Amino acid sequence: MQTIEWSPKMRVLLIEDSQRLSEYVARGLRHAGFAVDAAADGENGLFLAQSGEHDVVILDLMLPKRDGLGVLAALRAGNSNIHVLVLTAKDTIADRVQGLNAGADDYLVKPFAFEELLARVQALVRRVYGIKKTVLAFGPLELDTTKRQVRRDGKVIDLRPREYTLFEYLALRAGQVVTRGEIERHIYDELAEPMSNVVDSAICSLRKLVDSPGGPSMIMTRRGHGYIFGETGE
Amino acid sequence: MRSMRARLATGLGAGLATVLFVFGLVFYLYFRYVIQLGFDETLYRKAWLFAGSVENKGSAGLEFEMRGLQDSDYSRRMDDDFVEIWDESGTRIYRSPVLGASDLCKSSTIPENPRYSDMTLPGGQIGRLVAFTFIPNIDEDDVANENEIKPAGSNAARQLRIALAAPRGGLDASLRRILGGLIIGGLLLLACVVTTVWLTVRVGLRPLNRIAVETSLIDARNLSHRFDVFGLPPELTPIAERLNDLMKRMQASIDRERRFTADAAHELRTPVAELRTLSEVGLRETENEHPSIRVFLSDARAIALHLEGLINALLTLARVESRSERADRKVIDLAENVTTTVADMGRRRPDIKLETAIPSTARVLADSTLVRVMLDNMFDNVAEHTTQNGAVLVSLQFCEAAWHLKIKNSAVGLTAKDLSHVFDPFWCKSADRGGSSHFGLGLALVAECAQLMEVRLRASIEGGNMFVIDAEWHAAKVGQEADGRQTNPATTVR
Repeated sequence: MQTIEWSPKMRVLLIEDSQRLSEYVARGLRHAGFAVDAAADGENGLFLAQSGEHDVVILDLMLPKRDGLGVLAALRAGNSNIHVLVLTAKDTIADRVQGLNAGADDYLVKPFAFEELLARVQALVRRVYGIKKTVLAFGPLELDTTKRQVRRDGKVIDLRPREYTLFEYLALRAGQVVTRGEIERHIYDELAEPMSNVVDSAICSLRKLVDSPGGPSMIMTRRGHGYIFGETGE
Repeated sequence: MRSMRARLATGLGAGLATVLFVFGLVFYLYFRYVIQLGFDETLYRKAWLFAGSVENKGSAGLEFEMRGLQDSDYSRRMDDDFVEIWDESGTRIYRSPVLGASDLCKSSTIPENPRYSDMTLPGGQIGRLVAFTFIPNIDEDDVANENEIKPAGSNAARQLRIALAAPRGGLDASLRRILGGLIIGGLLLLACVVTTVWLTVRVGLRPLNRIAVETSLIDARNLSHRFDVFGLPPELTPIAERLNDLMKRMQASIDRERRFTADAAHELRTPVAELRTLSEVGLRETENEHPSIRVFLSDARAIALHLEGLINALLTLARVESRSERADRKVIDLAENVTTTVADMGRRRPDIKLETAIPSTARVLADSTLVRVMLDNMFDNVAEHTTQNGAVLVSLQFCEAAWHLKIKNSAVGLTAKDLSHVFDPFWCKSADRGGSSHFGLGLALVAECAQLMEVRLRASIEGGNMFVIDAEWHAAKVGQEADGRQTNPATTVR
């Protein structure tokens, strides 16, 4: 039995056999700033879910090769605490109860409002970090996870989705060192090119946007380790 | 039409009774004839005894000799017999003493051959008469020649006439006893026949009754029943087998139709989810740009939402139909459910002039899920079709052990002819479905739920422009006030 060491990330695994639906859900999530991996069958989905790289799994039930409940059962049997949102056409109360009892954290019936899917995924992400509040304050900065906004002294800072996701990831791990590799895996999924300085470039851009001009940066560099949010200094 | 049992029992009973009666009558008549024949023969022999006692003495005349009679078996009762003897001229030559001055009959009416008839004897009793013409005995010793025995001017021997009567009271009493015995016996036999016929018909038709009772329990919601062919008589076995086969095929057909509806709706969910997600993600990505594309995406989203509503309605209909064998019946408060649903409708259509008369409580025996589906769709229909600023009246009243929910809403264009279609699936008043979010399934769902809960449902039009739905629920007996009275009806007008 494989033991998964849990570590918080902000990456979503989408296990859905409908190619078109998978493509548009993934696209919408990426547009919202999530890193998304996709699998089209249960076997592949289980393999990816067991990698431990994801915060949330969006799981269809009617899958080829291995059905969704089978994937869920295998995950839980392997002591995986990964959060699972079941996304399915099965809409009866019995189906919902079965899915939740099998270990799902949430259940959404197709067709669904994409906004609702997004909100539920965000709620599960907050749960990953043990956060109930939707607005977190870091000195003059505010992170509003429901509106996906960052504000300084009440004024909204205009961030692109990936910039927001990066800020959110660092803020939710405030006080912890976040390595470059973690940022790459979490924020950039397969779209990131290996060996590129995309992380450094993104950190630099983010500092320019969120830090007050002339003031200390909220995002500090720990040479040889990574970045840490919340310590002022260099 | 009369039942088979009644027809068989009546026919058999009447037939057997008729046969019994006819046989009895024939038997009685035959017996009467035989007995009477015997009596007549006795009478005739008696008459001949008397006739034999008359001798033609030729020129000496006739001699009526009684000695022979005294030696006969009839001597004991000789005085009871009524006898008259006449000669050929009609002159009486003998009359028995008991006759007194009466005559038995006119001698001129006496035929040659014996004639029997009934008559009233002196003293009033009914008697039997025999009369005939005879040639008296001739003592050859007393007659010199043949001519002496012939009357004057005749070439034939003297012929005398005799009439003898005897009371037939004994005969009649015997016949009455026989008739009485036949009647009593016949009635007893008839009673036995009736009982036997009734039992035989009842036992004989028992298998048919069983099939009739079982058939009466079958309806569209209970097609899983099968007749037990074992033990049926050979005449009914083909019927039962054919019925079983038909119901099996009907059940399979209904199950296929339901499964198809449910499966089709289910299968449509994913493509509709694709369309909806595509349109919503596209709208998010094109926020503040590409207005022409956003129009298409908005339309695509609207189509997806419409399809989603249709799928949900179809699935609900399929599921309601499939609940036929599992419908729960428990006491629920209809008033509370109606109040909640009316409030939701009011929020959805704040323009409506709403008037309600709903009591604080109205307990009925029903399935709570079906009640919810029924009320949701009834009031969805009201919200969908009531004219702008139109009137809606909702009342819930107790009458004759039932709760009547009456919903009236102003609607334009409905005619009496439409009423027969309003509960049909996919029926819409307007053939143009293009601009409507209405699927035509709402009232079909209402009708299906009503049928499952045995709620009587009626649609009508009042005043030319008010569409009325009247649903009648059986009131709950458990825990209900003894007289079914409702408490504190609240009438609100907005």
